[in-house]
Amino acid sequence: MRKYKILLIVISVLLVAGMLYAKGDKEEKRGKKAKEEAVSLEGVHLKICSIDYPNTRAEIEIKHEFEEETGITVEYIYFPWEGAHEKIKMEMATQGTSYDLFQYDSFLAIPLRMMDGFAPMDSYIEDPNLPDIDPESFVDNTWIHWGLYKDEVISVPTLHSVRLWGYRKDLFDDPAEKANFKKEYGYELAPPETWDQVADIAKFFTRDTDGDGKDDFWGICDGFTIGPAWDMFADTYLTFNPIKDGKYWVDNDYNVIFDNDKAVKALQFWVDMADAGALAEGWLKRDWGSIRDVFDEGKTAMAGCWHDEFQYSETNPIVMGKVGYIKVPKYDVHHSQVSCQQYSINKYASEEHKKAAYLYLSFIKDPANDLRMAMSQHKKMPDRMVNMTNPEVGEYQPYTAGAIQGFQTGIPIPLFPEFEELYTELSIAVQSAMVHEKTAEQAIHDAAEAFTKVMEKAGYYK
Amino acid sequence: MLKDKKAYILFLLPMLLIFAFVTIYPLFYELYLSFRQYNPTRPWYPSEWVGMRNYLEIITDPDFWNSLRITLVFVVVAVTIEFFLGLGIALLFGKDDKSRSKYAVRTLIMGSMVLPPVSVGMLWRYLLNDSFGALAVWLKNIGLNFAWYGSVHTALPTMIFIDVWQWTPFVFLILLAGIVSLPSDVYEAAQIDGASKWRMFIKLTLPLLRPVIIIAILLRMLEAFKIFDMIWVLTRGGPVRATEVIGVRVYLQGFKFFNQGYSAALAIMLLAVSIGLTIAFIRISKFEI
Repeated sequence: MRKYKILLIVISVLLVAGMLYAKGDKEEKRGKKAKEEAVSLEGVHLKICSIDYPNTRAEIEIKHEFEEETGITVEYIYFPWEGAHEKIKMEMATQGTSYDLFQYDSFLAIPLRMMDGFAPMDSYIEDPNLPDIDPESFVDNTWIHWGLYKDEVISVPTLHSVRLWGYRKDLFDDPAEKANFKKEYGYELAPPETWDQVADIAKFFTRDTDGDGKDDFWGICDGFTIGPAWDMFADTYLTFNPIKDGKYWVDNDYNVIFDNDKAVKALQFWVDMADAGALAEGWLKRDWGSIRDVFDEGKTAMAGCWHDEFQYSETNPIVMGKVGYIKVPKYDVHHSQVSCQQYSINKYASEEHKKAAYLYLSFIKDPANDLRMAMSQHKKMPDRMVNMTNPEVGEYQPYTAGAIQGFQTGIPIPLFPEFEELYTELSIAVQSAMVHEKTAEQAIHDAAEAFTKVMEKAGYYK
Repeated sequence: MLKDKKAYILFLLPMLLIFAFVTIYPLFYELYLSFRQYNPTRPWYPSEWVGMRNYLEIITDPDFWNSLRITLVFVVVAVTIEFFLGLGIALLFGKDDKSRSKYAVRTLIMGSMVLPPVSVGMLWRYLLNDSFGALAVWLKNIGLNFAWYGSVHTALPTMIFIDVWQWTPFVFLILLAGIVSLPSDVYEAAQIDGASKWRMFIKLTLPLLRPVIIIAILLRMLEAFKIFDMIWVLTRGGPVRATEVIGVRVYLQGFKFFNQGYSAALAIMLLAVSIGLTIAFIRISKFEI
């Protein structure tokens, strides 16, 4: 009997070892074949329609390794955020081949993918001669909403973002500030959990520090130009429980559902913050590019923005090391908006170029390279979950812990093609309420009416 | 002679073909588009002939009238200031002075004119930044603490100021060319007759400069109607549509939302308004082309 047991154990061990060897061998073979495949693409020149971010800079730093290994050359052509998207739209509308790879924001991913200009990657993923890009191992919530279209893989994530709040740890931990806050508000000063706490803390920290009679330190640094105004409003509104069909903006039949009391309350929060003077000056002209400029200058206690923005705070000597990160405060639930830029291959590029583009994507998304870039001077945000949860990365990029929480409970930005119209209408509504051209209720109502017209014109209600 | 005419036409033909291709064809295509609902980036949208619907939607949209009002205020105020400032500076420089410093200053004055509008937008964006904008900080120190392009009340005046800063040299340059070519014998005769400088300016300079003045104002008016780049870089038409000139609206509809039919109709209306105002201006000024 004992002999049989030993035999069984030996067989099991051999089986497992064999399976592991076979997998390793298969991967090795796949790697070897990929290299052979790359050699056949030598001389291909890839053009990427790109946007300048720390992530892209980190990629550019290592692209020479890919070029040396494969003989494929890669050129990043930078455009401003807006310009890049217009370029892509035009490229697709004209079925152009000026670029092989597109980098684009999830803000525009839905209308872009519906133009049918992105090449499906499934055949490359399944090709044993090419590396497997393994889409499922990307950071939660960064791929699934945007990467699949008509059941095919059309993109891989790059530069993911989740709404996050940064606060000045040094001030929040200061005993004198703590004592004063408790005296004034009756509870402990701590990173805010709710919007009511945000309001108290913001008002508490807003003050005149040089005694000239004017406030020069504020509670919150944020922006309210078209776009960021949407973000700030969505931050508050999305933390209520969903309105209908688990949704906030339009229901399953695309009827507009944001003309409600919760939206009004969410907007009123920001109106009150502006009225209280708790928003750092210049809030009405601060856009995505300068959303936390005053926070980085050390003149505000808190800032709410897309978490990739804090990459810059972490390299700014004034606030570096002094910033703590928390998930977006709440009314009912902690919900953060999730957005993620994507890379897609141009469907109209030649087969050679498409394959070379896929190989390049596999190279920059390779988990080892992903980690290397995350730990580089550019602090690229890791794309792979395994790197996002790596403690070393967490220490080097302190916002990752808060970001992971955000991704896990995150809500993707609205996934319908008219999102651009929606955020434009609502941004203007937010502005008009904050400068008291309209009441919060009227502003929300007008935006809902205008957006209903957009949807009607787009043929949703026929 | 007939043979010569044919030769003229033959030589002109390439230019006429290019002109027809890049100007006439797009104009007619735009007119055609303005009667359609068409969105090239959203092929699943209904694309159809809608007749006058786009125009009807535009004229019943209060935001369009707001844009038209802002555009007209921008054009009238900016061009008026540019004209008076340009004329003043041109008169200063128009004296018979051959000093080198005059040429140096004249060149410096024209510096802003050669900048691309997008760069102008970026430049003023930094200059008027609340925290580190050199001009904003200095103005704050002398008590002018405004949000400039970040306030509903000051955004449009700020845009006008920047336009004046950039384009006054253009008016100055045209008027200066007119002033230096004025016949000196008329002035000498007036001086002998004992005319004062003011009287000479009113009775001689202005009437003689009239064609040049009209050209300068016309060119600036047409350019100002098309304003877009600088405003887009600075405010994107905000805050709360305070600087949403028609150019911004056309761009938003045409290139952000890709509602090409609606956007084409808006552009045609902008063209109609600017042609209408130009004709009115020419009639009023009794200018003969």
